[in-house]
Amino acid sequence: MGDLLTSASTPSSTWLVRRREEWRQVGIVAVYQALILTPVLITSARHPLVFLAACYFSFLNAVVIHNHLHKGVFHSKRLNKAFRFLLSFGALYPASANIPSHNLVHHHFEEDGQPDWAAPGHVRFRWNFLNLLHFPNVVGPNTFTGVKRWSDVTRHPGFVFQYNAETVFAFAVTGLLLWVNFWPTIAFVVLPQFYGARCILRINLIQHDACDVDSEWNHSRNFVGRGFNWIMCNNGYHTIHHNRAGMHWVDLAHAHREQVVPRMDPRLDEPSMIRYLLRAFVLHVHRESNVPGRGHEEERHLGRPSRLERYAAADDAAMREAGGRAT
Amino acid sequence: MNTTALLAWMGLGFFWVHTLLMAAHALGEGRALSRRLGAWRRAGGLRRAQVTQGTGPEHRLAVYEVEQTGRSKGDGTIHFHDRAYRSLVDGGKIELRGGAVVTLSPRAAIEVWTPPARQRAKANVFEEADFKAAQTLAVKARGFPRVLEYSIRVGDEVRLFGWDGQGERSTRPSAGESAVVGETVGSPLTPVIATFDPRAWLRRRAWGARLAALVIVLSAVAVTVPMFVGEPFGLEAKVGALAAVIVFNLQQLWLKFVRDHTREPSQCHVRGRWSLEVPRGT
Repeated sequence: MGDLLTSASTPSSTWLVRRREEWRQVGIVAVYQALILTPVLITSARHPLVFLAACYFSFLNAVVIHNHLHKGVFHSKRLNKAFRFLLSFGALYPASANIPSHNLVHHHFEEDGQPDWAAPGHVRFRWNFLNLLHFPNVVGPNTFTGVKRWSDVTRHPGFVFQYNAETVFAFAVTGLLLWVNFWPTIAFVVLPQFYGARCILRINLIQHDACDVDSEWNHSRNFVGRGFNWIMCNNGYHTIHHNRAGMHWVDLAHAHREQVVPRMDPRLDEPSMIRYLLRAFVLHVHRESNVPGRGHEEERHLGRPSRLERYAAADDAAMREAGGRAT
Repeated sequence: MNTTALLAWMGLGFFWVHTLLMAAHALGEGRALSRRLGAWRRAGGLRRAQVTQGTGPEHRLAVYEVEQTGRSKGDGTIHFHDRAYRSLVDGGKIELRGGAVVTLSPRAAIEVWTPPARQRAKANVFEEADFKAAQTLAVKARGFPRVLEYSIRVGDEVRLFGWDGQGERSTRPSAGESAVVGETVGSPLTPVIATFDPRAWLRRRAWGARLAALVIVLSAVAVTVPMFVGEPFGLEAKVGALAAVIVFNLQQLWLKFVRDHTREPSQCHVRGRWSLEVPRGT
């Protein structure tokens, strides 16, 4: 049991970042910023491949938002908050929105009675491909109206200020770029911003559609390709991430193999996201309805803390991470 | 055509694809309500009736419950969010116009509908004496739990769907029908007992959803037209493109508004808040 509750690898901290691997996340953001800013300023950089790369890195920027809001990249809380401004500009939404929408609501599914703002059931087109396209149109506003309601009751010090400041910063910088060079900004900044922000919402559908969210081990779909997880900073290992929200992303691969694979329905380990997308959304017209069975859950009660206890602990950790106290 | 122009065209295509998806979604919400009305019409409509016996507490026949949690940051306002919606039957008898009697057994699967406006009004009513105790809990992590109840009792006039004029069941219970309804999306054939005539309400919402779909499409037209007036990629096109970015976000909020307002009375958001600043009680 001890193995279940401790980190799977030895942390390799540096003076600036929490783990040496954080430089990968910093690098992703730096490359992304270069990809969107260069074409605005340099005519010869306006190439379709640059646009495609900017879109892909915008999605990775949103992945970094996700990881950073679970566990800050830097040791310094001030630096972590400052980094959120840069990430918010990259996604054209305030990164701090992830605290209520993802860490506190999505991670609980509907177990605590608060409906998941990003549940796959929000879209119900018969042609499943349309659900993939349309999902952010529904979940985006759910998130932002939900965050507004959460802001009314949170006692998290500084959340509202940070959230509003990130919003103003993201829109102000984008507005400035539009004023400087309108069409290249629309094409190489705004479109990638939208793409990344909307794709990270789609991930909720991709990782939970047709899964059993009441289950301890079968609530999520995992994408286990090594190359995929290198660039995605281990975001393919979603089951263990849900069960151990406070675990650093670097440790997820090992924990997935040790803790999840022996207990989960093996159909929920997908070797390739592209193959899954083709199968579930393109080749199959209708939505997959086979919820994986619960037969692999004999070990769900191994003396571990209950799911709600783990949620409470994860919430406290998320609040501490965000620089405030738990409400 | 240079790359920027190509990408601008692509952006416009992306905007229109999503405009049509949102319009289709709004139409779908309206169609779901119309389907319920159609099912009622085909089954002979709603039966007017009066509750003559209720076996629950204080002669209660059935109750609609909304389970909520109230949270506050200690500023004199408690905000509630809905956790679950439940329709529960205690049991009793209902006399249809014409004299036939319907007997409801306890835990029968039937949706209890009360007017959404009444549900929301009740959610905001409180006594000052209760506020302090509620706020003490509401500032804690678990929040202040409460259950709003909307009861149907002996003497109440109701509308009934699911029984014919002779008091026989006119719809078959579906396989997934459970005693606690309202926690999942109901089928158009799920029996309903309503304290108001919901047909006008459903019709209004169904047409509202269709109108909303039209507004979504027209707003897209309104911002697309300037892009093709005047010089290509000139000032008018810039205004149109900027407006499209704004309208795209507004369309999504508009669709959320439609989705919230087409939720049936046994599923609609109640929420509510208690605030010491606003007039209390009714």
